[in-house]
Amino acid sequence: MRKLKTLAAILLTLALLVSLVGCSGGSGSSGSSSNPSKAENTTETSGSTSEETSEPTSSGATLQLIMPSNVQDFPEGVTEDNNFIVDYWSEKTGFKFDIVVLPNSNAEEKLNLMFNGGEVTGLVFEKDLTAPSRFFNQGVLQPFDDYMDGSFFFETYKDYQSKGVIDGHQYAAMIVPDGIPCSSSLYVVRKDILNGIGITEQPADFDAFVEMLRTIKEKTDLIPLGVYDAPSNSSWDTIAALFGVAPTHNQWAVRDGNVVYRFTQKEGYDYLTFCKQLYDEGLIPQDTLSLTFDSLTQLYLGGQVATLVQDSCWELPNLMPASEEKGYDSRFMDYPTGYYGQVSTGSQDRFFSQAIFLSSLAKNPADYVKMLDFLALPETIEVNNYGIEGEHFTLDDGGNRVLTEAGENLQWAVYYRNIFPPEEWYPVYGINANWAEYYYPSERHSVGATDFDPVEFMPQKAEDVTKTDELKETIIDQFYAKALTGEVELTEETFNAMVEDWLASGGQQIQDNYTEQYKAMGSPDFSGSYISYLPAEHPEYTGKYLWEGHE
Amino acid sequence: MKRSRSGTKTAGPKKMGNFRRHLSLYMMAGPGLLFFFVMSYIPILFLVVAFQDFRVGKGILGSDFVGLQNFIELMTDRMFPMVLRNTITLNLMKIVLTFPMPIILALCFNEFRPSPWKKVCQTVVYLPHFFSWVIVASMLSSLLNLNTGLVNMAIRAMGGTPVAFLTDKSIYKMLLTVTEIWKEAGWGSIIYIAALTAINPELYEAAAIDGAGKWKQVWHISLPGIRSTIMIMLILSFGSIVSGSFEQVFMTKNTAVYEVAEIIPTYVYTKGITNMDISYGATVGLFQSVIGFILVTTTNWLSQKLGGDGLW
Amino acid sequence: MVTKTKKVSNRIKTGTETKIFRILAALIVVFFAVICLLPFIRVVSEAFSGDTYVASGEVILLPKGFTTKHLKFILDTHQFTRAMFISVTSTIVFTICAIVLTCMLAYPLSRTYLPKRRALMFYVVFTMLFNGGIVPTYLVVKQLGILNSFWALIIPQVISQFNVIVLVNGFLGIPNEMEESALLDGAGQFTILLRIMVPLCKPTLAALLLFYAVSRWNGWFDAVMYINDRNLFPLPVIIRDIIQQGLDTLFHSLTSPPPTQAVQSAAVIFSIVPIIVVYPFLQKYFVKGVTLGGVKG
Repeated sequence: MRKLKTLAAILLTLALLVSLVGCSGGSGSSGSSSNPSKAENTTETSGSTSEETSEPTSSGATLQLIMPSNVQDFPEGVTEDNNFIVDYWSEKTGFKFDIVVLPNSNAEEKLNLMFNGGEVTGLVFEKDLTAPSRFFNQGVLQPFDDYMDGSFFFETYKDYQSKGVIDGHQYAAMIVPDGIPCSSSLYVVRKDILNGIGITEQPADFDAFVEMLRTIKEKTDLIPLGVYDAPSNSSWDTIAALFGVAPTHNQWAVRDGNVVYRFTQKEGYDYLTFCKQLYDEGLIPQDTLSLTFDSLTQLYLGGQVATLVQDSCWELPNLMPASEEKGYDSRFMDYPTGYYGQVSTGSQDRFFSQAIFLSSLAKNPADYVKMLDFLALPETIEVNNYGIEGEHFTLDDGGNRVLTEAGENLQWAVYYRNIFPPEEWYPVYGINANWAEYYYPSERHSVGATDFDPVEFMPQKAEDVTKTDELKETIIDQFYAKALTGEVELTEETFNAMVEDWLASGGQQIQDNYTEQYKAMGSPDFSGSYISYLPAEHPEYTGKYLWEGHE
Repeated sequence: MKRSRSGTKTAGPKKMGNFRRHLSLYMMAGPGLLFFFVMSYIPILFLVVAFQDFRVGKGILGSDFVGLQNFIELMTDRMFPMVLRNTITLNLMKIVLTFPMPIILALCFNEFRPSPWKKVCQTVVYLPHFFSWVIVASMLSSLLNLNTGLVNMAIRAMGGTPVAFLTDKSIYKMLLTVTEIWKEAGWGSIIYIAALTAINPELYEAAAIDGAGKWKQVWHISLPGIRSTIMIMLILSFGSIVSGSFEQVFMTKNTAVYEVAEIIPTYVYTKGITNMDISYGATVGLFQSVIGFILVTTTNWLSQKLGGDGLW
Repeated sequence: MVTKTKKVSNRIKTGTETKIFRILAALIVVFFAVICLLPFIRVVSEAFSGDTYVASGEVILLPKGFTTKHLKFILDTHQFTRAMFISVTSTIVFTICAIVLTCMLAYPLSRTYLPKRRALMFYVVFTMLFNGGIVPTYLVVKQLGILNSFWALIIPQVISQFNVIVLVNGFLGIPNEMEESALLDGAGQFTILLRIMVPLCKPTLAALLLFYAVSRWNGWFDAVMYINDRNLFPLPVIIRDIIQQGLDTLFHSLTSPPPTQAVQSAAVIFSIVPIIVVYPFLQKYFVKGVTLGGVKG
């Protein structure tokens, strides 16, 4: 009886294991009944209605495209599979589409689950550029290698594709920047306060900047500079930029041909010494480490802080109008020259907007590459980004697009605006939406930057990025925070000890990897990459928040 | 109220009756048991990936077996001692300090007859349970900030020097406990209130006649009356001693208090667990489960040894 | 003679002691209620305050710059009605299924004469301690064929081990005589459960009903993981999206202004509303002596 029971238990367990294996990702196609079967997964001769001129006869297959999450909503009557953009695509390519939009929160987990469940069968468009590496590690991708020859997409954007090479194969197709390659951070200052104490010019260099802070402290009871969290945190970006250190992006740099981590270099030490000085002189809030952007905003709007540094312009449409309502005159201040006399530029990012990769379960990779080719066509880009001429926009005499009312309500189309040349960004988003008032002031600072971060342009392994982030939070942030408040004495010895710790805990290896990779690429010079796409003619952008005011 | 195990071995017609009685009970429990089988036990088998280097593309059968390597990596991680220490410290503080609060609150409520006031108060104390930690974090900030916090403004008004509450490590630990009490004591008292209503009021009357004061009544009637509930809650809270609330710490921690704040759930997040390292996630989960299991079994056994009830 | 005086003096002692005790209890309750109420009032005020006041932290207790736009933002979103409908129906269905199944599981487990009862309890408790994680749970849900359906909101979490344990404990507290006399009358187990056990356990069941209903009403993570169809999203998911829109303020539509931070406070109102509405109905069960209707002496 006992033996039978044990046998039964073993058999049962085996049966369960088998069933669990059966449903885990390695095998099987996507679950049939459970999937939202909006389109059949079979190839069939399609009833293509259009006169196909540019595209060869397509297989009529259903392509699954997984779009990155976004805050935008689909309005009534429009769904991700059912709108004029997808209709246009179907018409022109003969493909049917199964569009999946990842949820706004926990998108990564959702995508992971879908891969585990074998539900990802097509292209994934991902904003997180380490995603291809992650999924490659999991063995669920297939490379584009065999289909790149003759592909319009890969031809057109071949300069960008090296970042998507993993293990010698093209696992990720990289898309051009979807906008401004040079978004960076801003100083927001109370011009009214500064004028009140006799400062009418922006500080041009480092010393003038420090002098300004000291004057504010001396002549008013405001805290001169508002920052939050540790000096290695992204909110300090503008201050760190004065030393060529960059918390937000660009944490790596090329020095003497080697790739190094800025926080561990001499500049980091100088920067930290300066931050400590700011703290000791009372030029920054004494509880900086526990502040958040919200509490800092409250300080600023409450009139207790004269200058705010902000690591990205996304929060500002709330802040600036609120500041106006309070009667303050808040302006964006230009970066002063840096500590070493160099032009200080903030973090730059967004050299690549998305990485596209293909599931190993896709049975028709050639079709997917054809789809990429189609998406790269100028006509498609126009439809995706602006709509249909006549319906969503008209052309004026100068050849400029004027949006109709229908055209102004296409926020949901962001899910389809994956290939989006930077020249289009300002016309569609930057100016028309009033964002340029916030975006361009931040962009200006990094235009022409020469101290680039090579790692931004190299393929990055997910493990390396994760490890870098982990070491930053556990070693770098901790040291920078403690040195700021004096919990740890800041000397060259202690700083070097921290660097040693960082190197020994994995930093050395990552640094060596990147250096090797950089040299293998031929040590290219990327400093020409920081340009602006603000159109020469831009009447809607006024620059009203710049120190000088309206342009 | 311990019930003794009665007749499982009776012969004759009673046996048939017993059997039918038992059968219908088993059938009644069937759907529930099946539910746990499907929704819990089958997924538990997946934990075998903690002993593997799991790759989605290879599946469970195809992934390499690595034995205890994942666990060794976990426990030799630089931060692990600190993180483990924080987790246990915070959870012990919670057990000692927050555990009695719902009970005390329930006992206080028990004193009063049903009235509109009582109803309102009972509803009001549940409200913080519905706040997300995001909101609580921002409330804490506006309360305790150095420059704009209400508490510090009051201190300044009274001529004192403001205190930077939020950057202080010891204060932060207390803060976690205090906010936990504030947030969950009311909701947690529901279960005790329900249990207290089951106590026969005649017991109280009899005790009062015998001259027992309120304190004695509480000690000898109320508490024993809800003892099984208390024991259950206590045993279960020991089970989560190496777990912890991700949201609470993640939303409220900052760089200054990192060393005492980082607990296992948040550390796993720092290490990039959404990095799809499924084996690592399973390893941590299994680690927490095994320790929790040992603790629960031990406290359960202890509880029964001391004459009380256990979970099973 | 001596005993009488003693009794009288004891009574006097008890009188003051009772008073002190009750005052202490009242103080504790009131103190707690106040510290819970004030933040709540503040959050509600923020939900009705103007953006600038919220952003500058000027809303201490009462609204400033009164506006209903935050609430309207949530109410006007076109998915609101649908999501509300899903939330209400899923909560009702879920709670009913959950209570029924919990009772059906807890009652047998509370019969100490049931063979292997302790093993079964262990079986249930074990699953509280060991958890396979979201990946295998997701796969199981997928295999059950309920992904992206209404039932994904009901089935995966329909029985809570904690609630089962609590209810087992509740059933254990009912004296044997109740069951035995019913059995003598020839009642079957289901009848006993329904006619005797359940009515005697009303406070506990009321508490469990509350727990289940609230967990389903405010639950969003499982909805995000198991459901793709926007028409099946319950309210918390929609609201979280709106809050996100308020935080990424640069992503506003060209024709209508975006939500702002204060919408987060408005969201709290929606998570609390059901309890405020439902709780008064349940409160009458949290009354002493309700259980003891059946047996005397």
